[in-house]
Amino acid sequence: MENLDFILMVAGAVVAGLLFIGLIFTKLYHRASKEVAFVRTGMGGEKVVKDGGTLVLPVLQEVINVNMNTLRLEVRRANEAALITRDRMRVDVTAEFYVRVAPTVEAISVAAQTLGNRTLEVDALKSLIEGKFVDVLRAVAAEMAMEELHEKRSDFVQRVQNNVRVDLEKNGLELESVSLTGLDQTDPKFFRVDNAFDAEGLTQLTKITESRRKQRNDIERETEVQIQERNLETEQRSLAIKRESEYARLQQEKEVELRRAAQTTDIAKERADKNREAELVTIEADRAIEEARIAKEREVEAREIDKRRQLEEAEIVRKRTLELAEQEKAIALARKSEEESAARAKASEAEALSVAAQENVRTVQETAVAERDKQIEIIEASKAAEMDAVKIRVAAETEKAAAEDRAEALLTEAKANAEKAEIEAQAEAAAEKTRADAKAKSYEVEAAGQRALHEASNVLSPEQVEMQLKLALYKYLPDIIRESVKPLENIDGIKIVQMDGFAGQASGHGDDKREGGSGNLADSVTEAALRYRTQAPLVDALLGEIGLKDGITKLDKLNS
Amino acid sequence: MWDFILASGNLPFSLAFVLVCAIGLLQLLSLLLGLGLSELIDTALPDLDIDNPGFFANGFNWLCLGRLPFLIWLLLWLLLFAIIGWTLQWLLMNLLGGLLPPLPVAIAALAVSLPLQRRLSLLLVKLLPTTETNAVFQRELIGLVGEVVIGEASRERAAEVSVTDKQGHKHYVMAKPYDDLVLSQGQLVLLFDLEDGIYLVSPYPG
Repeated sequence: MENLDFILMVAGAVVAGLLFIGLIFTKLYHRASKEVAFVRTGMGGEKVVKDGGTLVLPVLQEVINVNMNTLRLEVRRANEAALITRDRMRVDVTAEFYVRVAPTVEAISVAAQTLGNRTLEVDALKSLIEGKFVDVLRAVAAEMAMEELHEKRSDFVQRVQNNVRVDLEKNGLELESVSLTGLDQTDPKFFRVDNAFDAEGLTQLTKITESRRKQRNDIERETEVQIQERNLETEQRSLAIKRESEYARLQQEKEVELRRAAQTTDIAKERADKNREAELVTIEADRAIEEARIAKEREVEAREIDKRRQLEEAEIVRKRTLELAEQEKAIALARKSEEESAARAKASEAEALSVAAQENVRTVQETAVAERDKQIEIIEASKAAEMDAVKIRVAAETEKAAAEDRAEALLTEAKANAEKAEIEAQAEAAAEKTRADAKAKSYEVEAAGQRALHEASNVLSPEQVEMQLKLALYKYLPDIIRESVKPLENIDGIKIVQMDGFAGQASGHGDDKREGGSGNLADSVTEAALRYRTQAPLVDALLGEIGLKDGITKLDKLNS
Repeated sequence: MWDFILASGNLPFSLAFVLVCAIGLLQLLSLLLGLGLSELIDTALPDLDIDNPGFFANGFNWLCLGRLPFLIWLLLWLLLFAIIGWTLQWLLMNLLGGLLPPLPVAIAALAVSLPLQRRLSLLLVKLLPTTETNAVFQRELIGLVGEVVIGEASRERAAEVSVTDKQGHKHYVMAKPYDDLVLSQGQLVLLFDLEDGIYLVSPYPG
């Protein structure tokens, strides 16, 4: 036999064996699901298995499945079987109980024991425990009023839970939830009058319904009234709104019109403004031009004036300069004359000085004389003093020496003065001599001038002599004439009297008008006048002399 | 190959393997047809009193007979016996050039197979899952923190409290305060005792 064959045989045997073992294991292993837990009993005691699995040996062990699903159990109590609430009302109730096996070891165990496979069948379970639920519902309903049942759901649920808990626990169940899917008051026909509960309930019911009916009626009527009021109000409001809207429309139109007018006005105003501005600008421009022109003219004018003024100033300056020059000239002249007089004053001063010097000389001379006398006396005194005391001799001698010195000085001074005086006297004398010379020369010149003038007059031509004569005549002519017409002054008034018949006889005429009179009259007047002119020939001769032969008028003029 | 299997020296071992195959095929058949064959066989076996171990019981225990389903145990042993016997005969044939008579070899195979059977059984017991459950005992919930879900819990009236167990499953239990307190809905509570199916709780701060 080959090795390979043997190995294959053994391997096949092993594989087959393992396969069979697995097969058997699969048959023996019992699994729980999410929905179903089970309780294994028998060998090894009770074992609760949930969500897992275990080996269940045939014969030795037993398995009971427990449904873990929530079961819905509906309980309905209505009509005659209706519940009675705390306020003695009958209520039809439809409650749904959601129960399930509690997921604890104890609960599953109890459920398996008490319910067994009925947990998998809802109806079987319901028939078993419905009585408990009804009882609990009745108990809870009796504790609560109808309205509380209706309103306080969690309270109701809790009460049910508390009441049903112990009963359910005995079956390993728990109440997941309870719902009141239907709750209403039972129809009154199921209320029995002879029932104590129902009697009370009916009364209450009637009271409630009737009062509600009344209330309803009130509300309805009130509502009707309110509706009508409301309608009226609405109508009024609507009218008011219409009115308001009309007003508003009118207002709006008015505003639009106003705005339009305002707009127009504004535009016109704007336009006018613009025009005015334009005008203003034009005017401004014109004015500016005018001003510029005026300014220019003014400037020209000013320049002209300036120029003129400058010219005038120059003129003035020139004049002033001229005047100043003249004045300076005059001043210079005056100064010159002042100097001259100063010189003259100096000269006289010098003369005075020389006089004073002479005086001094005399004074010195006299002083010297006095001094000599004094010295003589001093010598005499010293002689006496020498005789008096030898002690003071030296002092005296010293004194004497000093005195001598002084005398010497004085002497010297006197000498000098004398010399000075002499010199000054000499100078004076010289000055005097010079002055005398100058004067002599001046007189000489003057005399020469005069002589020259005389000579010039002497050498005048006959025409010039005549002219001189004429000039003299001119000079004295008025006096002559005045003297000659002196007799006319005595005439008080001239009266012209026409005397006819007196041939050749002149007649005065009192009127000084010179109207054209008759020849006769004129002649007579002239004659009369001429008759007064007795000295006329003389005057005429004089006038003729000076070439004024027909200057009678001039003579009149001179006369007046 | 067939010569080897059907050789007189291999008779006990081949018989054991045939038995293995027969049992297995029967099981397969019963699985397909729904017949509880293994139950029949199991039923036929005597009940073993684990609590009062005698000599046999001790022996069975040593062989893990009570700790494995009987059929599995039997199959395993038969398979071991067959394979060991075959192997011995094959080795002897290769060494001596011929097969030995069955009896001495069968005894030798039995001797070898029993300790091996023990080893493999223990291994299988460890390998095969036994009981797994998530069901918790009511007392296990004590010490956990829950929350009042419906209504107000007072001393007179218990309220529903939801509490999550260690496996993460939620339980809804009835609970009431241990003292004259009123626990409102949403209040966190600590479950600290169980009394007639109602948990006593105290308010859990925070």
